[in-house]
Amino acid sequence: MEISKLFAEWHPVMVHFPIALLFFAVALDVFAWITKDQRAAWAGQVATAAGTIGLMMAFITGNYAEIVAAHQQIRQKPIADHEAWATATSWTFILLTAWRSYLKPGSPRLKYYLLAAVAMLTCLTVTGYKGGRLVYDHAAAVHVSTQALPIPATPEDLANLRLENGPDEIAYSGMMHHVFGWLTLGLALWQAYQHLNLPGQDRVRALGPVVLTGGGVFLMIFSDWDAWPMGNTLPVTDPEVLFHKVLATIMIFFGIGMNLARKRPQGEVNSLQSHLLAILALVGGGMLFTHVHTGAPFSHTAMGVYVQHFAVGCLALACGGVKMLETVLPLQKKLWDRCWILLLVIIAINLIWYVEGFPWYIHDQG
Amino acid sequence: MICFAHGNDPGFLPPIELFGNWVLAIVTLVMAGGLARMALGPLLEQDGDPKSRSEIAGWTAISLALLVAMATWITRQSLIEAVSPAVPPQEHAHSMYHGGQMVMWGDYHAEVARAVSGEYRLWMTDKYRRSISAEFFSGSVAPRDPRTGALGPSRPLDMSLDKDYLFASLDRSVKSVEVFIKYPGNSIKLDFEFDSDKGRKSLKEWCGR
Repeated sequence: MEISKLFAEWHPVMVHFPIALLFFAVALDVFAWITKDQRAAWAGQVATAAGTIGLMMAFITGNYAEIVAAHQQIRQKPIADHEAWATATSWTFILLTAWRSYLKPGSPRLKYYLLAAVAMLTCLTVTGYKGGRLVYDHAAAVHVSTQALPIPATPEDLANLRLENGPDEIAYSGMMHHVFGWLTLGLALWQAYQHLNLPGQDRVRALGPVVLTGGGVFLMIFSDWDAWPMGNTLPVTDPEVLFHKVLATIMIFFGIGMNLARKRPQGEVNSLQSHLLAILALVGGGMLFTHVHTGAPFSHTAMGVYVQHFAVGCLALACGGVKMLETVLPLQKKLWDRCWILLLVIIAINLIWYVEGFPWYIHDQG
Repeated sequence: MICFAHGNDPGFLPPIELFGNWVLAIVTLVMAGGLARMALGPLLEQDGDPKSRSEIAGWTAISLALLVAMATWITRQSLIEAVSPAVPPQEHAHSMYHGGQMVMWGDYHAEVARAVSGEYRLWMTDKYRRSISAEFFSGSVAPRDPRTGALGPSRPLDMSLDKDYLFASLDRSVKSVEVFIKYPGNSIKLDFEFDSDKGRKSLKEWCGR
């Protein structure tokens, strides 16, 4: 709970960054579009990226603020509304940031981007408004006794606070993470083999796509024992199930894409396959930041899971970042390749030693 | 059983949560597809070898078939969720979990059980009969004369170590009580009678607890 409180206290600090930066970024872009000012366009792009990073930080700390507020006996429905708006806002701004990075000043598509960005500011406004109402109407994060709360928790809210993952669920989740830890280690070794230019490259090249596609199919089937196709208790619209299925879909398609790239000349295929893996790392890392633990959302286990998501998400983003550096500074390719392989190994170790709950390097006062 | 449930919460999934989740899924797929297209685009455009092109076409067809199959499945399941009538509520299965007597008001259920030793225990559950931790409610129990309704001195209910229930011990002869429960936002007084023709029998021992 202490870790949650620590992160939760940063949520009201963090929310100011996306609100201020993203509104300012869109204003700068509109100004740049009208005046054709290149400096304003550059500043708009930087502010958009900074605001989206702020949005991610606000989301991560928000997960903890949610746990603390729920234990404070704040009504959970308005919290869930706020989180849903935050999810929609975060992901649309991630998309907008990616789109913006490919738009040059004067591009005819800029006006469509601006229209979308202005529309998405509405989403941001609603998210902020809902968060504000949680404080003003429900006294979330206000230091008052539970008896003094203006709107008491419902019996369902109270029962939700008691939810815990069963030993079977924890063991199943642990097993799935371990499987993907070994898979990641396999991919790291595969990359290392190519990096060292060891014999039999043609055959070895085929392994990566097979591992990735196979992993995707495995995840699609076995991700959740209580959701399709293993069970039908949870629907696909459950955020946790949806995350697993989307990730599985991306893995399958990227595996196919890497297989397509396999018969290119050696230098090109390595670069193409690495590029695709980097995209997978970036998207997967980003998804981990907004991945919620729905089974027992306010439990001690959930707090630990969020810590692990944050750690692995940062490592995955670092993986993607290294590959991006490679495109900017291609002369140090060998160094970037080694960093990339090392990061993959660290992610693999994290997953192989994964336990559902707090990781071994954090001792929280449960 | 397909329902609007999310996680272990059997409540309905509100439209805004559905919207948020779909934005997450669609944006992720669009981004991954867009970024992959940038990497694979040149490969598709420059390749002049007919054999290689046919292989690319084959894989593209497989990918599209997979995509269509998954989209169909997701749409189908979502539509089923959207149009399915509400699942018959299971919350009104008023079975006693602890051999006591059950009372329901609003969305709360309370079960009070008595042991022959004179110990009273109180459990609370929500409308789905999911357990509510005893740290969220408090109360007291007072002997009550079943004929006149006159109350004796009340005794506060203590919390069990596992926070599962509240309990208090009264004299062995007291079999009719008034239980006062204070829960978030309100309080209630409930009358219980054991070992008479109205109520249930006292338990000889606490089963497994």
